[in-house]
This record gives sequence, structure tokens and C-alpha cells, in this order.
Amino acid sequence: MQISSSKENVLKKIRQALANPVPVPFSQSEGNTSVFQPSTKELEIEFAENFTGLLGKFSFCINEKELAQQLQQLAFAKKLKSIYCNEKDIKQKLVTAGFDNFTATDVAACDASITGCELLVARTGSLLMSSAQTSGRTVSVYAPIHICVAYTSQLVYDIKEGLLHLKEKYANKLPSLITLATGPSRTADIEKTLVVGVHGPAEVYVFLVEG
Amino acid sequence: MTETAESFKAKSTIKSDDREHRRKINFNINKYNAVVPVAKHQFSELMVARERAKNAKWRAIETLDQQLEEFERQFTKRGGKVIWAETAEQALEAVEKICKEKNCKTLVKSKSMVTEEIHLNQFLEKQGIESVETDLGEYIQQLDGEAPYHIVTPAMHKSKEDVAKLFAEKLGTPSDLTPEQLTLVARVKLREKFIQAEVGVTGANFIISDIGAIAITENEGNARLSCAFPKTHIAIVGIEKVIPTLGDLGLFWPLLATYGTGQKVTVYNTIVTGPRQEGETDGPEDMYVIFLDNGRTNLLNNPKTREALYCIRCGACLNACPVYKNIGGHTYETTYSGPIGSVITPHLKEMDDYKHLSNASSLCGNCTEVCPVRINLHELLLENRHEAVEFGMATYGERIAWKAWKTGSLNRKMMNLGNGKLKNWMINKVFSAWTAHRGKLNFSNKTFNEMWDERNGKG
Repeated sequence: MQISSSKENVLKKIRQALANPVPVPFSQSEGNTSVFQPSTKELEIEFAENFTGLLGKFSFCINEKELAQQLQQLAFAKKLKSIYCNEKDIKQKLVTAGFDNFTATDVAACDASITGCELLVARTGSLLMSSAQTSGRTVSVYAPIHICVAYTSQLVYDIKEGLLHLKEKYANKLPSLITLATGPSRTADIEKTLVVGVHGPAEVYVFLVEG
Repeated sequence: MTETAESFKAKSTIKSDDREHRRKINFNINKYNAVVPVAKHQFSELMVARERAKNAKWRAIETLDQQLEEFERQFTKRGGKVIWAETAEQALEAVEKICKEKNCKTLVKSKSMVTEEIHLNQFLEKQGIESVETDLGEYIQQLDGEAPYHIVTPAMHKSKEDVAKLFAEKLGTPSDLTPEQLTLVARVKLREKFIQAEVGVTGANFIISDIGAIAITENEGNARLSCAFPKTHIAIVGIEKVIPTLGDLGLFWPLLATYGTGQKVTVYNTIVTGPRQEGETDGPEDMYVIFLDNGRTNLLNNPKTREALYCIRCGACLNACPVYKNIGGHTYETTYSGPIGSVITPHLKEMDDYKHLSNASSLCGNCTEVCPVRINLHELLLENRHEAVEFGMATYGERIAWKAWKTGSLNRKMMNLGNGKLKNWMINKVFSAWTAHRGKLNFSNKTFNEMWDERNGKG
């Protein structure tokens, strides 16, 4: 009872206040035109530049075979012993292409995780991911190194475009969580000194595959 | 003068003389000032962007009742629960009830000013629940037993040496750790807590009414972890945080990042539409959104102050304010400091106790200049002063003094009475309260009439 009466009270106060409306502040600025710098390059290049500018590590792969080879090299160079992946289709593609180095059984024990993404946002160099992916809420943020496998067909230019694309894709069944991740986890809470890898991954890789 | 005003004046006097404090704040704000212009380059039409943002907030606030109800409709469809709280006490009661139901012993928290406003940590402590701040800046402040100094950069007033010393005292680490090492210590300590906690509490930067979701902006990943591992997620959010549509985030995320921290977008911007859905791998079983009024409808009620509810809490007006930079965040003794804090606090709390903050301003207008959603902050400070006088909160002496001033300055004959020296004596000695915290007035030796006549050859 108490809770519903609180709702009524708050709504009542709001309605009373709104009986005195105020006019729109800047009617001349209304519109749908973009307020951001337009794209001047191909989306792949735009993304790569913006993503690496924020300490992301970018690699382009002509096909999945090359992807598997590059992952192999990365695993070797970074001495990755346990890699975790919880997305069946990506795992399958990688195994078929010759990479099957998945020894971690959960994200808590891994030294790197591999996930896919919903879309890539070129203008800001961001990965748009959702809980509709079987990686869920944790895999891309809990692992110390996050490796994202994406395809060129997943590129969009701006954030709004990406969000509206997801709204259309899922219609009334939106995933419970959507996140726009841009580079490694960072903080500047101590004297504005940049430190990466606070709670999320300290390194983020994107392997962008043609297709 | 009220006790709060006395305390504010005393603390301001001390802080503004503290050179070391000023050095730390300038160091931080200079770094902020260096990156903001770079982030602004992402906009081709920055002014249009800011004006559209203000329009979007106007649209949301002018239909606030419908927006909140639409949110509730959408959000509950996915199994989320909405709790309405008129006051801080009601919000705390709701949290307590949920924690009891879930048998909560440890709770992880991501950064949220609303939870500061209702003093959630102190409340939970009394209930025997461990409430752990997981944002690094807030973690530092919690270790030190201090409130956040700034709404975006909670530990802005601490040097790296201060933090190293604090960690050494409280956590037993070596006293000479670097920011990298200190961050790693916090990471390791807090990882356990995310797994252990039964409940995760977050705030929300935006309420998105058309899809029934909240959005959280952060850089560290602690908010994502706070709403991933615990079985229950509670988001506590002020009712004014509404934006009408999902697409609006395409504008608000970059604006908030540009003005908050000088980034194009922050590292993580997360939309949460409810608890774990069927077929999903992980996520909380229950999600609650607590809508908090706590005086916000007072701001709504006055069409002039209403636009203060458009604030997106970027902190730009704090960084731009000459008063804030000199007296610091804690001197205000309010949850929200700086110009926006001075504007809203008297309405969220008591006008009589916090009206003095609206006088702690040179009315230079820099806050209005830098506000991403173009809130007329300095005009709202004036509005507060006006309201305070209107409701008879000015002291007797002050009212008499202004009455005398008004009579005098409206009357040419009285203005021509006496020379500059006499006027200086009148103001600086008789109305000595004026000069206690201000420079002395210095009247011209000749009156305006005398000078006018001289200039026109009548002298």
C-alpha cells in the first residue's frame, strides 16, 4: 500500500507542477541532421584509427584462416595459457580454421577471453555488445585480456545508428544488457594519471575479418 | 545567520588561504581543461548539439509523469520492478527490505551521487551490511571516511602521495606505491567482492523511457561487474534523469563524456533493460529501479528553476567556477557542490539553510557558458537569491541597508549630497558587514552631476 501511494503522490506533484508549462528552449535547433564530424574514410580505416587511438589493438584478417593464424601468433607472443570462449559459432569457425587453443573452462580462470560483438562503431572506435550473445554480461569485462572477433559487415558509423539497429533487430525482445565498450578499462582517479586495466581488461584486441 | 552559513563562511576563509589545496585542484583542473577542447572536435555543430540536448531534456521533463509511467510499463514487462520513493527514508527502507529478503551481507556499489544524497553507506553499515564502493575514486574516499569532493572526480583533492599514504595506513601496503600499483591493489581487493556480494547497487545516468531501461556511464568496468555477478541489481535514480528515446543516447553519451572527462565517449556505456532474460547466460535474477523524488518536484514546481533538472552531472560547472576552485568541494557541506549544487540544494533541502550558497558567486556566468545542456546557472543563482528575499529570509539589517541604498540611489539630490569621502565612510564603516568579505567601495570624489556639468562647460 505504502509503495503505491508513494507513486500516486509523486505523480500528483509532477502533474501539479506541469500545469505551468515552459516553452521549448531552442526550436530553431530541432532536427535530425548529424551534429558530429562526417566520415571521410572507409569505415574499416575510421574504426581502426579511432580504436588504436584509445590503446586498442587492431588487426585486419582477409579470412578466417588468417584470423586463426594471427590468434595463434598472439597466444604465442603473449604466452596465453588458458583462453576462454563461450560463443559456439565463433569457436566452431576458429576450430575449422585451425585454432583450438581453448583450455579455460570459465572466465574466472582464463588469461584471455574471445567474444564476438553485435556491431562496431567506427566514429568512436567502439564495440557494441549485448547479453543476447552467449558470452553474456561477464566474459568481455572480467577477463584480463579481451579479444573480439568482428566482421566488416558489422561496421556502422555512429552510435545512434548502432543502437537503432539493435532496437530493430530485437524489436520487443531487447537483450537485458547492451554495452558500448571503447578501449581498455581505464581510470584517472589518482591525480588524473591514466591507468589501464582497473576492473575490466587492460588489453582489448579487435580482429576484423573481411566478410 | 544560520549555522550552515556560518560554517560555510568559516571553512571558505580557511580553504581559500590553503595554497597546497589550490595547487592540487589547479593541477587536476588544468589536465581536464587540456583534453576537453580535443573531445569537442568530434562535433561539427557543437552549439546545435547542446541546444538539441536541452530540447530533449525539456521534452522529457515537460512530460515527466508520462515518461516515468512509460518506463514502468516497458521495464516491468521484462520482469523488472519499480519502486517509487518520495523521500530518502522511503528509498532506504526499500533497499533495506530487499537486502533482508535476499539475506544480503555484502553489497557492491558503483559510483552514484544519489546514493550519497540519501547516505546509503551509513545506513547499510547500521544494518550490519558491508557496502563496498568499487569505483577507484569512491573506494579511496570510503577508505578515508570522506564524502566525494567532486561529482565526477571524487578524490580530486588528493595527491598520489596522499593516496599511497592512505592505502599504507588502511590496507598495509608499502607507502611509496605509484598510481599504477595502487590501482592494481584496488583491483585485486575488489574482485573478490564482486563475486561475494549478494546485491549490486548502481545509480543511472539516464532513464530511457521508450524502451524502459537505464544507462550507466563509466570508465573502469566496476558498474558492469556490479550488475553482472550479484543475484540482485538495485538501481537508485533521481526522477529527473529521463531522456525520451534510446536514440537520444547517441547525443548524450558523447556530450557527457566531452564535458565530464574530455573523452569522445567513456570506456563503458551500458544500457540495462531488466534482469537476466530467458535464454541468457548470466545476470541478476531480480532487478529493481528506485525512482527518487526527494525534493526534485520542488524544482519542477517553479517554471524558472525547472531547467536545473536538465543537469546531466558532468561536473563542467564545478571545474569552471572560480569559487569552487578556491574553496573546494567539501566546504559546501552538500552532496552536490559547485554552481549546480548551489542552485539545487536549497530546493532539495531547506532554502533557509542553503540560500547562502547562491551568494557565493561572482555571477561571472562561466558555469552557464560551459554547461553542455545550456542551463542558465548564474540566472538560477539570482532566482534563488530573489526567492530567499521574497520569502522574508533576509536579515533585518540587510533589508534596511538595501532599502536605504534604493532610496538613495533613486534620488539625484541625495546622490549629490556629500563628497566621495563621506560616501566611502558611510558604506565601508556604517555598513561594515559589506566589507567583511569584500573589497572596500571607492566612490568618485565628484558626483556624476558635477562631472557632467564640467564636461558640458557649465562648471
